[in-house]
Amino acid sequence: MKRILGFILIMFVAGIFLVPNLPAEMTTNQFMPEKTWPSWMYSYDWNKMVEIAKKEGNLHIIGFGSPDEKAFYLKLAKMFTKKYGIKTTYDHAGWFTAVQTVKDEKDRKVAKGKYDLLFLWGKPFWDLYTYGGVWDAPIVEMVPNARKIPIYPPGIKYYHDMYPTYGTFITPWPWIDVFLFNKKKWKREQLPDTLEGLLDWAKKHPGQAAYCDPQKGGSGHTYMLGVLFALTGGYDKYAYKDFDKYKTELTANWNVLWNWLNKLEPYLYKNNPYPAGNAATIKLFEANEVSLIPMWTTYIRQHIRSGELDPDTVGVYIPKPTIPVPFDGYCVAFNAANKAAALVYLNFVLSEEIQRMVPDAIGTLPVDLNAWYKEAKANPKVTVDAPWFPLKSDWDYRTWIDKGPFWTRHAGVMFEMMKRWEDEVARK
Amino acid sequence: MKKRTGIQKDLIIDQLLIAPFTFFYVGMIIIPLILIFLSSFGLVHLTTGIPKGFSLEGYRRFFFTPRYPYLYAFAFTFLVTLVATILATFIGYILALFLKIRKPKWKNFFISMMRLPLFVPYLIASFMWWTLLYPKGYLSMILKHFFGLAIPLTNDPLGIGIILCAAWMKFSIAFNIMHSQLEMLPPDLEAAARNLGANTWNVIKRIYFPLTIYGVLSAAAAIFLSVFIAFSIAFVHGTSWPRFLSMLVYRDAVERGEWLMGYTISVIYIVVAFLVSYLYMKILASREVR
Repeated sequence: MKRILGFILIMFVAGIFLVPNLPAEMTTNQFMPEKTWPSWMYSYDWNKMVEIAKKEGNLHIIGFGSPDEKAFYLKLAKMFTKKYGIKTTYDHAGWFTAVQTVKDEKDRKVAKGKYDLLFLWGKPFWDLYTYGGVWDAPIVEMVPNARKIPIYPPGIKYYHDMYPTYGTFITPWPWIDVFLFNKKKWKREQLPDTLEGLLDWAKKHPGQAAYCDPQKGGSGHTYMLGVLFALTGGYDKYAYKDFDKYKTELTANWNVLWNWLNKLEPYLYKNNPYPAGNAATIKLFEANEVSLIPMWTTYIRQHIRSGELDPDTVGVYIPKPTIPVPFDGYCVAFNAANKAAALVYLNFVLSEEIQRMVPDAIGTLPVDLNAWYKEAKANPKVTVDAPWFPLKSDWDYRTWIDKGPFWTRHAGVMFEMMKRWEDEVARK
Repeated sequence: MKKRTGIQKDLIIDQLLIAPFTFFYVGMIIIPLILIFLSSFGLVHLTTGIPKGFSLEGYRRFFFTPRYPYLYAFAFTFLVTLVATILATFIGYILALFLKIRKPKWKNFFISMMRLPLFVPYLIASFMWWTLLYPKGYLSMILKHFFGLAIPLTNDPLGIGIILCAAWMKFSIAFNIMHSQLEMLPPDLEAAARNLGANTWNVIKRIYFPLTIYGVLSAAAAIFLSVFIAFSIAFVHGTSWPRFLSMLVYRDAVERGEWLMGYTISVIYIVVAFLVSYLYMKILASREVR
């Protein structure tokens, strides 16, 4: 017993000295030393992959997003080309084009596809995966920097919008939906603490709130998903359930949500309670027509930087328990001509250098928590003190992830909710 | 014998000359229309999500989905388009009449300005009007501050934004057609009428309008068809409900992957377009018979 305890103590002390000296970016070989793993079991070598990627010499990425996100992705493509000498093209053609192109190539048995790397969100990813359009390789295990993606809470590393990815999907950053309020008009204490609290608040302050049409922009339907979780049984009721299989029982009490939303409607912004899109919603806020809306932090940052949104009016918080968090990301096309280059690019976007750029470049959190804290120390103005993130006195990234509540989005549930919203709320 | 060979030769040459047009028309218009029509019945599978084999599922859903969302959207699209058409045709006609009757010195400049909407891309025009009509836009603020009317002018359930934007974008068509027609009328007609004591209203009512009615109908038909199928206007100015039929095509095909409904609604669109054109041709033909 004493020997065992002594051994543990020695290892602990040795670890204290050794761990800080380990390199930040590690190759896969270092995790699986050759001495313990036979070569037939571990057939790939990251250094060799980088070599092959350079020989491939090209990479074609397709994505979607706001103008600032497009500018960021184009910048990343240039940086990657400069660093590795791999000619990288980025097309901001949208997820729909990405999925249709790859599906068409699958049907026509095209061996070397147009796109290598696809930036997708939940439903199109699953649609393409079940069509056989995604390279069915565990890229999340192959890319060294993917180790930075949190394993807990579940739903980040091995799921996407609660569709199982089987390791074929890598997420570099989440999108954060928050409550944006006019802090010249309201103090934080005057605002609803909870998601459902919006109803009582709107009754006291009619016409001040709105949420984006759930069918036109993500800020509305992601917020509404949070309300659905909160009102109809809790997050755990829906988490990781196969929605198609359990649809009847999962949707059995959705009338609670519709009743709540219909009760809310008369107290929302009278002229247009459901503005057509994220941009239209934030424009109403900028025009002082509304003073409390759910909105993406990326949009808030973009509109502050463009001068459309007065930062002195911007207050941001996440109502309790939380708003679900989507983690869009990349998958490799089944017929990608440059698979090695795609993997090297994914390692690149997960590198500390790029992850630290994310809060300022596009106004969201990096998936790598350590990068966030390093950047927060060096540049608090664009991280912990940025107006588009919640106040550091109220919210901490690591606490949020470790202690929760932390909800990821369920695309199947969300889609059904969006479809039914039209009939149950918009048409009433 | 020589003459027949000559005629046959001419026919062959004619057909060769129009062959590029024929190929284009058949390849780019007829065949796609046939494919869409067949896809709506599940007989051709251009995309995924189409039932295998003959199916009326798309039409069943279009006509019989509970609470009839598609029929409601169709009625909304039709009514809003009708109002926009009447407004655009009226504005175009009035402006053309003004030029004909008043003959201002700055006529050419006026004509150039009237043609401006034809050169503005649809999406740009839609966004331009959105900035005018949204709550802090000029038009909304004028109505609110001077007339006390705080009504939504865009993204509204009555389609006001769609009507105003479409009327601006399309009145140019009516103006150009009517202006050409009115310019072709001999000036003697008006002179003769005025000599007989006709006032301006009588000249318009008894001379200009009867002689240009078919121009009005042509303009109205063209405007109706273009607004009925419009996407960018409805995309920018539409609301959550009711929606334009083109928005349902986008929602079903792109957002929901329900391609069958996309094809079905497209067929409905094509049928309505043919009906409107047929009606117009019938009116023309009945006029000729008289």
